Amino acid sequence: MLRKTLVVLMSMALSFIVAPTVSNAAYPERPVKMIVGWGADGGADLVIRLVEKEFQQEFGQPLVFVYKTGANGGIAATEVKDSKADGYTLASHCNPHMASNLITKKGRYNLDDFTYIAQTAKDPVFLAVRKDSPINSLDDFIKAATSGNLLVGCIDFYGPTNFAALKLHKMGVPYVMSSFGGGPKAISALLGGHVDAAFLITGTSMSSLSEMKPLALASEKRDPNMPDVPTFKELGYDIENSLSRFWMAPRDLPADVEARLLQGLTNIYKDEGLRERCAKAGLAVDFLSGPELKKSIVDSQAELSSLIEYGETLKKANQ
Amino acid sequence: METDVLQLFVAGIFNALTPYNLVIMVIGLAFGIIGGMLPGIAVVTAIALFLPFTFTMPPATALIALGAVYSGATYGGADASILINTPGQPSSVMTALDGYTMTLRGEAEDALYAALLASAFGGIIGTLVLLAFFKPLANVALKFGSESFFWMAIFGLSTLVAMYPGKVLKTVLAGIVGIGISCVGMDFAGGEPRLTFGYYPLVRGFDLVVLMVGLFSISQMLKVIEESEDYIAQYDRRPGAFRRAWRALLGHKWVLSVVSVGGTFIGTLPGAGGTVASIIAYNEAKRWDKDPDRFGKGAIDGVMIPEAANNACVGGALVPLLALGIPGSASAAVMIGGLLAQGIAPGPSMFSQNAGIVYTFIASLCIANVAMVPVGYLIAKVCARILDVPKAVIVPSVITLSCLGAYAMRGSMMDVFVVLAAGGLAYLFLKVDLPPVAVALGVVLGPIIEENMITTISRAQASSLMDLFVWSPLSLVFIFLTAFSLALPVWMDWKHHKARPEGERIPRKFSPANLYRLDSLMIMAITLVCAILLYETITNVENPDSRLFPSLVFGSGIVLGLLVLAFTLCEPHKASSTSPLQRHKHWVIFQTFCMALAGCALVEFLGFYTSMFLTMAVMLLHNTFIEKQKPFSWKRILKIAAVTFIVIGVQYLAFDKIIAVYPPSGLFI
Repeated sequence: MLRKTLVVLMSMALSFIVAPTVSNAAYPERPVKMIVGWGADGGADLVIRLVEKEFQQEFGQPLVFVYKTGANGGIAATEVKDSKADGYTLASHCNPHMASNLITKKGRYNLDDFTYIAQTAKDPVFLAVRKDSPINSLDDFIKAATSGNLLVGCIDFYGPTNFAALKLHKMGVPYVMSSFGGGPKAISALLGGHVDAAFLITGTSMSSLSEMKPLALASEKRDPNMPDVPTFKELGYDIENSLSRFWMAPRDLPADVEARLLQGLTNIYKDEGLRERCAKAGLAVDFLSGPELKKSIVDSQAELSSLIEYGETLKKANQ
Repeated sequence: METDVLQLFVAGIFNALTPYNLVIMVIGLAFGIIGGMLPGIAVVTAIALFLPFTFTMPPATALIALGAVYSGATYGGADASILINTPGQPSSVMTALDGYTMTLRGEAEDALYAALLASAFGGIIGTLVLLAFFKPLANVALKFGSESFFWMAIFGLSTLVAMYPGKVLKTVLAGIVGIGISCVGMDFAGGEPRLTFGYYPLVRGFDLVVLMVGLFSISQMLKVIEESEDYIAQYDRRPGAFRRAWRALLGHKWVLSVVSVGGTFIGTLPGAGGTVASIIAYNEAKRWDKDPDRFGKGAIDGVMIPEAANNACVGGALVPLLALGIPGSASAAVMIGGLLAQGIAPGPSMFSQNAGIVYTFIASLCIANVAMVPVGYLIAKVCARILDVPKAVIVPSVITLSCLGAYAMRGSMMDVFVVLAAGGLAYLFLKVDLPPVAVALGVVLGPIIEENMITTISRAQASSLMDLFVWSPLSLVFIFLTAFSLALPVWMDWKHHKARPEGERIPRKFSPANLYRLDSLMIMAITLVCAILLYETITNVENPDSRLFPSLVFGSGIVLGLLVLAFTLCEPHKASSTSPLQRHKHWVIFQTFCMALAGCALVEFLGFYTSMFLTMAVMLLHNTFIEKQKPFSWKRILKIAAVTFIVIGVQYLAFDKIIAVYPPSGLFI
């Protein structure tokens, strides 16, 4: 009798151990780890938190957040690269950080070390001044820049705002650039008058928009949150820079898991209410499937490497 | 306008006082206090963990819950500081100085209740300041440019000089060690990996909380082994502790009000926060006191002042959030996430669109701070029982918990070894009078100084360096304060020195025998490491902006190290006075440390909890059968297994089931 019970118990235990590997038809069967490359206070976290509830409804499993901050997302990407490609390790990542880490070789990975699942949001860069600034348009800004020492703030070093600033600088508008460690610090510096203007991204700046005057948006079309603000393109400057937020996984993700994730995310982001909530948070939904996303990263590399080169020569010239 | 705010506030109080909100508030408080107490769970982590539960709540209730967790976690750090000298939060470092001394004197309960009441007091003042002045405060906070932050951090650092009179040079050297540690990793200016020696995990640098856990909690456990008593401290159940704490609160209401208002203001500055506030508050209170020597020796206001200041910061951190939509701290940023998930845009528009919710929230913060007193009282009462646990059980429990907490912080095995290394180093530092508190201060303030120095230099390209650094009004204020803070202790020392009769002055003479003393060896090692790191910085860091600060730090480390060495060598030689018993204790400490290291090395193979179980079991077995030489019996073995199982089991449940941190598993969990 005892032996029988033991056998039954043993086989039950065994089936628990073996079962998950037998089929992954019902992916996901357990909580999914979400690696976030920036802090719990950043946009990379927020963009996932906004759909945390929906993810659980869609997939029947919760997300478990793991923060791996550092090296402009490089730490997180390295962790993803070294994880098992079973769909239980996903990451919230950003471009141009991905591309610039590839160019500067500060990350220990290649473009092909990852499966790009989908881009879900895109925050364009914009140039802004304080509400009470005498500068009222991009023209005023350029006039002020050419006539004297204008100080322009950026959010982070070799991030999207820094690239936009470098690009306008390269087009011949002279100003001094200063990078701050993160959005809140850059916004405080702008509102406090410690910089004359700042390149910011729409997402995390939305809540203090009423305190500033946006001059131009580095996007192909205007933003519904600031419909009166022209794009750089409209004003004759070919500047398009944005922060693309996407989901990725280690390379060689099983095709059925990848398809399930893409389909699930598509379902989640179809919801009008959710899109509205994201827009309110400044993280406007801009859905791109994996291959398109990967292509956009590849395409961005050429321009970014020339901007990085330009940034390095500027740095050398200042010494 | 005034009556308007008052009306809205009173309406807010009634809105917040529904039974549902109160229940949620109490849950949030308890969650926050317990999370804040655990080493490795930072305030921001506690809030982020609670966030998903709020998604299904109505917006006002969600904010009330998050505010309660925020207040509770900020206070919770004090309990662990006071009871086992292990700050649960970086902002409770200063609380340990007097709090733990009180515990050693048997006054643990007095200290716990004093910290609780002071936290609640600071929290309420902070909220009232937020309510009354958030707009003007936000505008003043904006006046703080990078140059003001730079000088404020230098001012914070200048307190090193006054921290331990008579050991000024050593304290400053310890501070430089801390700043040096903070230089490792990706730097702010150039985004270059710095001082990593090619080891990739070092790119992210050392985590502040992990270092704090090592510096204070591990080193404290090693030190506890040294004592011959079986318990950490005597726990006197003297009636009336709460009444005494209440009277102490009333007796110090003015100084507490001042530090609370100051703390609120520091809280409004993005990037400063509770740690800076409590450090500055403690040191200023000490400086202006009639008898500064009481501090650090178990003064009850030494416990209350830093706690009032750091809880006042909660209100302060919400000022820029509500007035400008900018978070004043990482915790406030997570709350923005919570608001956005509710479909509410934070910032000035909240007052026009969601005024009801805003005032309900502000009112609820006041209520939460009042409710914190009974909730915290019960938790403190339970926690004080830890003093009834023999230290043989506490030491391995805290060591394993610290390792788990260190892992939980960033999910990195490197941090587990960092926590042990920092603990071992801090223990040696304690032996040679290099205060770990000074190291911690350096770690906290170093990055603030560097970041703002580099930003100011880059901003100065558009104006002039002197204009920004020296001639801006706020810079001048802080330069003046710093100069004052540096000059005062030197002057006091000089006066003290002159007052001493001639005969008592000890003549300094070089004695080579001092070379073999532990302190000389340690200082030589520090100087040597500074020299190696200076060389590495100069040769391997390409970007001049990234090179500047570490070069300055390690350069001054070498100069100061040589100076301290010279003084040490010239001290009158004392014959080594280590007794055989002490030597035996040192051997046990070394063994314990090695057991912890071995346990962590086994993690990858056996799994985290299994290795921690083994580590703790081996420590207990060692203590029972080798140290105490109890005769072997199965009953004792069984008891050890049961105790270990319970301790590790609780850790497993807390981290795996509630906090959802999954440390590496090997053959087992």
